[in-house]
Amino acid sequence: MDYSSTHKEIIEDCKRGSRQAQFQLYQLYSRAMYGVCLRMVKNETDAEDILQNAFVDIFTKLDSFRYQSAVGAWIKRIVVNNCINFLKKRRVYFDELDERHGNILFEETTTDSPKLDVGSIKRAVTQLPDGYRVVLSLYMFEGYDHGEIAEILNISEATSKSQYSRAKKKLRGFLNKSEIEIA
Amino acid sequence: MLGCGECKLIFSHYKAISMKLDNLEKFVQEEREQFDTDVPSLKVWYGVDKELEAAKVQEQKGFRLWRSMRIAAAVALLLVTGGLIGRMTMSDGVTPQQAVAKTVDQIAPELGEMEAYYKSQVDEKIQVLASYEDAPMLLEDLAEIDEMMQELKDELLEAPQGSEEEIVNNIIRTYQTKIEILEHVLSRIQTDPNQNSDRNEVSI
Repeated sequence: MDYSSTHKEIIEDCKRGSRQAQFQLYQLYSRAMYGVCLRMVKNETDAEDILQNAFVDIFTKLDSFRYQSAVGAWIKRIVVNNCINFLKKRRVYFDELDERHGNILFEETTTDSPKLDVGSIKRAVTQLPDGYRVVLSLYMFEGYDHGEIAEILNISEATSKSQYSRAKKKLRGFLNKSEIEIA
Repeated sequence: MLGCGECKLIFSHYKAISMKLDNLEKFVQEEREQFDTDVPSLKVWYGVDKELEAAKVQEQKGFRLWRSMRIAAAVALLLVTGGLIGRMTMSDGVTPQQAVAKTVDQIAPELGEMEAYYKSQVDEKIQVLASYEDAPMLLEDLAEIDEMMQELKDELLEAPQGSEEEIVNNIIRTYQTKIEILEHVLSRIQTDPNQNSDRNEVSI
């Protein structure tokens, strides 16, 4: 199946300005895109505002969508950009969060908490500092690679990698802590 | 709500890389859809709908403006062409010299008065417009109409007997169109929240 032409009919109707088709496309993607927003900005009011602006952007720019990528990926990139712009306005920086620990080596520890659950991971993600949370969200949840993240956030690939491994370590810390607290 | 195929595609990046994932990454990947269970409130869609509607109205206004400009240009063009044909079929009795010797005032004494009236209206509106960003572009377009109008008047001097009245009427109509265009632009600027917010941002 050719994913790039998924929902082609709906998209073409949207391009013609059909509000009904636009609502269909919104229904198809709004929940997943709301998830993206929520992870990036944490609070629901901001996430909804961003989602609204993003979908207005999406429908306004849809004319330029030429099926060179999957529409889902195209939509998601617009949503991500809206989130990043929002955070930039809030003076969130995506560069090295903490230079003092720049030369600490992070060991990839894979030997930890065997019990993972969606709820506690979601909670732990919201506890991360903005810069960490954004890089971690983009890599772990939205599936961008470090090259793409570097481009999205206008940072170096190396920064993306180090921020990600720090963010993940911190996330693990929160997860272990909450496990202890519950136990 | 995503179709599964679409889902896989969106999240394909690190699947494709398939480097060793730790247990956390693996868990997130496997349970990925469970992380997007929150549903945005309906007011998000209403907001989108409202904004798109507002944009559509603006677009239509723009389209109407463009159309009236085109009509004005077409009217002018038609008149110029008509004038040329008129000149070619000029009756034998009137030599070109005689025709040039006449003045617009002689041919259509009421036109001067009308023109003065319309000019004052146009000037008034142009003054209001002058402070807006897109004014230079608009003024350029209006100047083009003026140019065509001047050509019309030149044609009027050489127009064959009996066709003056029609040309005068057309000049007046062109003036009216010009004023309409200005009114359109003015109302668009005055009701466009974007224009205002831009202004505010600049002044802050």
